[in-house]
Amino acid sequence: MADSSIAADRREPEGGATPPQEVAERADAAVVATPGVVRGYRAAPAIAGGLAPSPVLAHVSLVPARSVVVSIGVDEGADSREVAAAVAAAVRAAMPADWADVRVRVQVRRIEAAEAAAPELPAA
Amino acid sequence: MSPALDAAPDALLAQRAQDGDDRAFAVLVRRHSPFLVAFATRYMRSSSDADDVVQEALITAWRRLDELREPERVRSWLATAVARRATDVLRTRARRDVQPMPEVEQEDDRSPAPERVAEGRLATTALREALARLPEDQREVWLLREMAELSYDEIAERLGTSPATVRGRLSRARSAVLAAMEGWR
Amino acid sequence: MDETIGDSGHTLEQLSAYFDAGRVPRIAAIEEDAECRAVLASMERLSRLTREMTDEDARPVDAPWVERVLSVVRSEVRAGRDLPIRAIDERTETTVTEGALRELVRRAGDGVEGVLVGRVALRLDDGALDVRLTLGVRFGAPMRTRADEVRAAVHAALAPHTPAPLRQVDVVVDDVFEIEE
Repeated sequence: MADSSIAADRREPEGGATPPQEVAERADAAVVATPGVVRGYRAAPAIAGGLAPSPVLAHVSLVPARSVVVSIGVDEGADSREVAAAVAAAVRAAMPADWADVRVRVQVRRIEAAEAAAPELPAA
Repeated sequence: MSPALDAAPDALLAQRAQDGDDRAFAVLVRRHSPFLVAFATRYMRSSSDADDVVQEALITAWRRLDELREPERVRSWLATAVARRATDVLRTRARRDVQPMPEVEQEDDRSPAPERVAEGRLATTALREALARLPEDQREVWLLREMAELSYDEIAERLGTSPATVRGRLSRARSAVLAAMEGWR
Repeated sequence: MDETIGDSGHTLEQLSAYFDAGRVPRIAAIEEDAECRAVLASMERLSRLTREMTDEDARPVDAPWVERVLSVVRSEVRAGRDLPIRAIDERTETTVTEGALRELVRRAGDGVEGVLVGRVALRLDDGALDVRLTLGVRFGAPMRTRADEVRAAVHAALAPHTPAPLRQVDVVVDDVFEIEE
C-alpha cells in the first residue's frame, strides 16, 4: 500500500497518466461538495503510532489494484447510506479518464451531531 | 438531563473509552492525572520526568485499551502503564549515566502547600523519608501495592518475579516502614 | 522474619498477606490475638497515611498539559471494524465504522434522562444488526422505564444509518450510581 503522498513523489511519467496526488485531490473535492457530508477524515490505513502529515485526506493506492478510499463524517440528520452512495458516485465522476477502472470505497467514519462540530472546550 | 460524563463512574468511562469514546477517556485523564503524576514522581524519586512519563503512558494506554480487563480498576491499570514507562526511562538513564543512581537523593522537590495541617504533614513527611530509605526492590513493591493498589499477581507480572517474592518483599518493606514510623503508631 | 506474632502462630509476612486480602476469609487465630490486631491496625494506618501522602503530592494538571495528551488521542481514532453498507458495483463499496455506530448509540442513549450508556456491542449476521448495550442509571431513576426509553431512542437514531436492518436492541442495566449535584 502506497500512501498517496509517497506514491506521488515517485510517480513515473507513463504517457501522461494522472498522478495519485491529483487523484486524491479530486476525490477530496468531490467529498466536501456532497450534501450531508460534515467533514472529511484522513483515510489512511490504521497505523499505530500516528500518521505522517499529508495535505490530502483521500487514500490512493496502486497495489494490488488502483483504489481510492475516502472517509467521511455524516450529518446525523441525513441518511448515511445515501450520503455514502452519493459520495461514491461523486468520487467516481471526478476521476480522470485514465483512472476509470479505480476501486472506490467510502467509509462513514463518524455520524456527527450538530454540536459535535464545535471543538470541545478543555476543562479548567 | 442525563448526568454529565464528568460525574460517571470509572468503570463506565473506561468501557466507553474502550469503545472509542475519546470524551470518556478525556474525563479519565483529567480525573486521574494528578494521582498519576504524583505516583510517577514517587516511583522515579524525581518530578523532572514525571510529566512526560505520564503523558506518554496515557497515550500508550489509549492504544492498548483492549487489554484492560477490569474497567472499574482503570486507575490501577493506568498506574501500571506509568510504572512500565517509568522503568524504561530509568533504565535508559542508567545506561546513559556513568554514575550509578544515588541511593537516597533530594527527596521531595515539590514545595509543600502552606495550608497543610502541621500534624498531618509531619506524619506524611516521616513516611516519605522511611520510603526513601527502603531498598529499591522493596520500595518499588510497596508503591505498586499501597499507591497503585495492584494485586500480588499484578505486581509480580510487572516486575517479572513471583507472587511469593512480592509477598516477602512487601512484608519486609512494611516491617521497615513500621519500625521507622514507630513514633507515629 | 519467621518469628510469630503474639500467640497467633502467624508470621509478619502471613499477617501482611492477610491484611492485603482484606482480612477475608477470617482467621480466628489472628483476629483474636491483641498483638496481631495492633499490627494490622498499624498496617491500616500506613495505608491511610499513604493516601494522605498521595493527596498531598497530587497537583492539578493544567489544561494545556491535558490537551497535549488529548490531541494525540483524538488523532488516533479507535474506529473499530468496517461494516459493509452496500456494494454498489464490483468496484464501488460503502462501509460504516463500528465506532460511528457506537457513538450514535451512546448519544441516543445519553439523551434519555438519568442514564449514561456504557459499552455498546454490535453484531452483524444473517443480514441483520443486533445491538447490545449496558447502561449506568442514576440512583432512584425508574430502571425499566429508562431502559425502554433508551431502546426506543436507539432504534430511532440508528434507523437512517444502520448498514443492515436493525433486529434487536438489548439493554442491560449494569451500574447504578449516585451523582453529587
